[in-house]
Amino acid sequence: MTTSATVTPLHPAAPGSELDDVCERHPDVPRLVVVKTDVQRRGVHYTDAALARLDPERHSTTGTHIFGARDGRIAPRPESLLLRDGSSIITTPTPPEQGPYTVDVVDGRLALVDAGRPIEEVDYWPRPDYYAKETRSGLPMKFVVSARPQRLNVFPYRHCHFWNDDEGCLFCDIVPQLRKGKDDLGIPARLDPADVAETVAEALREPGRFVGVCLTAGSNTRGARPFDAEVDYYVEILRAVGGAFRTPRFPSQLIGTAFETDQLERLQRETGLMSYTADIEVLDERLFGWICPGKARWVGYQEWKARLARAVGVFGRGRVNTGIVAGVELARPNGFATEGEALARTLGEAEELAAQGVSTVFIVWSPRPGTRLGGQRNASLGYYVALAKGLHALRVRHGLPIDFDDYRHCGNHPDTDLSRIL
Amino acid sequence: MPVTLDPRVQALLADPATTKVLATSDRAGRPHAVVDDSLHLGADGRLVYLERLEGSAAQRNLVASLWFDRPAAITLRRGAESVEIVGRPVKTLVAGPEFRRHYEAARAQAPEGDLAAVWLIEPLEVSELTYEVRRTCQEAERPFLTHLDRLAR
Repeated sequence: MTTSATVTPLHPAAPGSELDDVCERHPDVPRLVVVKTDVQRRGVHYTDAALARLDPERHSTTGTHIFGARDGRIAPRPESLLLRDGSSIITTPTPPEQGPYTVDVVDGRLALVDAGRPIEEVDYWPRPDYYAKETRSGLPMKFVVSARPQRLNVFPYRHCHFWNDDEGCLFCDIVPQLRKGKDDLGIPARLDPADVAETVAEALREPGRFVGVCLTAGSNTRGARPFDAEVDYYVEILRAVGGAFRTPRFPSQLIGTAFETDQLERLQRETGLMSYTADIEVLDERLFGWICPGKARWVGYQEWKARLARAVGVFGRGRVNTGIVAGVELARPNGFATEGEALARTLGEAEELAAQGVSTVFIVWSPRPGTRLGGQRNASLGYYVALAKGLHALRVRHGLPIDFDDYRHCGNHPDTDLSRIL
Repeated sequence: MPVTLDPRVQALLADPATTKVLATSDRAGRPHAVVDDSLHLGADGRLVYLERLEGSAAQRNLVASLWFDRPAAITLRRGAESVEIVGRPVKTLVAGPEFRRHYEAARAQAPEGDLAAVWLIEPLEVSELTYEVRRTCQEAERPFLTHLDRLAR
C-alpha cells in the first residue's frame, strides 16, 4: 500500500532565467532541446488567442491519451506542439498557477512565451486525414488510433491489472484516465482488432505522414503464465496492424511488460514487430519497489533488467530499450535526497543495461492529479539536461542506435533527440 | 539579417539547367557538399531544400546548423555564371500540407524514393562567383595578387 505525497506547489515560478542559465552551462546541448525539455517539465497554458488559432479541421486536438493532463481536464485543445527542428513537444495543459510556459500569438505566429518573453515559435500538430473518418463499426477512427506528427499510437487495452490490487505505479493515472475516456468520449476499454486494422490501413493512405506504429497498453497479469493474456492480445493486434503492410515486418515498437523469452520470441515470430520496450520507470531497486509495486511483485527489479537483456537476443542490438519517468527518483518521501545522487545511480544502472545492448530513454515526469505523486514537483531543468547528455553518451559509447525511438518515432525523449547529429 | 534574392539569382534558382550545390559541415567542422536539384526559392523568400534521406550527412549537418546557428552555403552555376548564397537553416518540415505537397511530388518523380524533410533556409548574403566577374574585380581592387607574366610585354 502506498501513501499520497504532501501537496506542494509545482514550480512556483522563477521563469526565464533557469533556461538561459542551463543553456549557458551546456553549450553542447542545442537550445531547442533544452526548451523542449523545460516545456515538458513545466507544461503549457494556451491563451485565448492561441486557442483561436486551433482549427480542428487542420490540427490535432486532444484525443485518446491513456495518460491525463496536468489540469485534469479532457477538452478539445491542441494535442501538442511542433518545434522548428521538426521534433515534437509532448506536453499537457497545466494550470497557470503552476508556472507553465504560455502558448500565445506573437507577431502573427504561435510562440512559446515565458514571463512575457517570446522564447520560440511553435506549430500545432497537423491533423491526419483519417481523423475525420469512422470505422465500419461506427467508432471515430481518432479514438481507435491516435497520431503524433509521424507516429501512429495504438492503445488497445486501457486498463492495467496492477491497479486491481492497488499496485499501480505511483506516477500513473491510466485507470482514472480510462474511466474518463470511456465516460466522456465513448472509447472502449479494449479495442476490436478489426477496428485497429481498418484505421491503420486508412491512416497509411495519407502520403508521407507516418514512419512508425507504436503499440502500448496496461499490463495484464492473466494467462497460464503471468502476462500470457497480454501477449495474446498484442499478437492479435499486431497481426491486424500487419495486414495493412505488404512487407512481413514494419517499423513498429511495442511498449509492454517485461516478458519472458518465449513470450518475446512468439511476438517476434508471429507478428511484424521490429522493436521492444519494457519500461522499468526508475533505475533503482529500492525505489522500483516503492514506485512500481505491481511490477516489483509480478516481475521484480533484477528480473526486469534480465528480461530486457534477453530481449536483445530476440530483437537485436539497438532494438530494445527501457523507459524511465525521470524525476520520480527524487519523489518524496523515499526518493534520492539530491539530484547528484539520483543522476549517478540512474546513469550507473543505465550503463549496466547499455553494456548488454539495452538503451535507456527518459520522459520528463509530469506530476498529474489523479496520481499518488500528484502535487509533487519534478526535477530541475539542469538535472534533465545532464540526464539527456548522460544517456546519449552511453548509447554512443556502447554503439547503440535508437532509430526506433527517435524524434520521428516518438518525440518524447530529449536524450534521443541528441542522436540526430550522430 | 535575411536578404531578398535579386531577380538574377531567382532566375538561376528557377532554371533547370543550373547546377546547385549545398555545402554544410558537422559540429567538428568536417565539410560535406551535395549536388541537389531540389533547391528552389519558396514563396516566402526562403530557400527550400528537400532532403530525401533521414540518415544523410546533409540532414545531420542541417540539424546541427539549425541547433547551433551555423550557416550553410549554396552554390549555383549555369555555364560560366555562378553565385554563392550563404544562408541559415531556420526550420524543417516533417509533416503538414507543405511537406505532403513536396512528398507527393517527389514520389511522382521517383516512385521508389522517399522524402525525409523539407528544409527552409533563410538567405543571409549573396556573393558573385562568376570567374570573369571575380577576376576583373580582383585585378581592379587588389592588383598585387596577379602573376607578373600576365602583365609582361
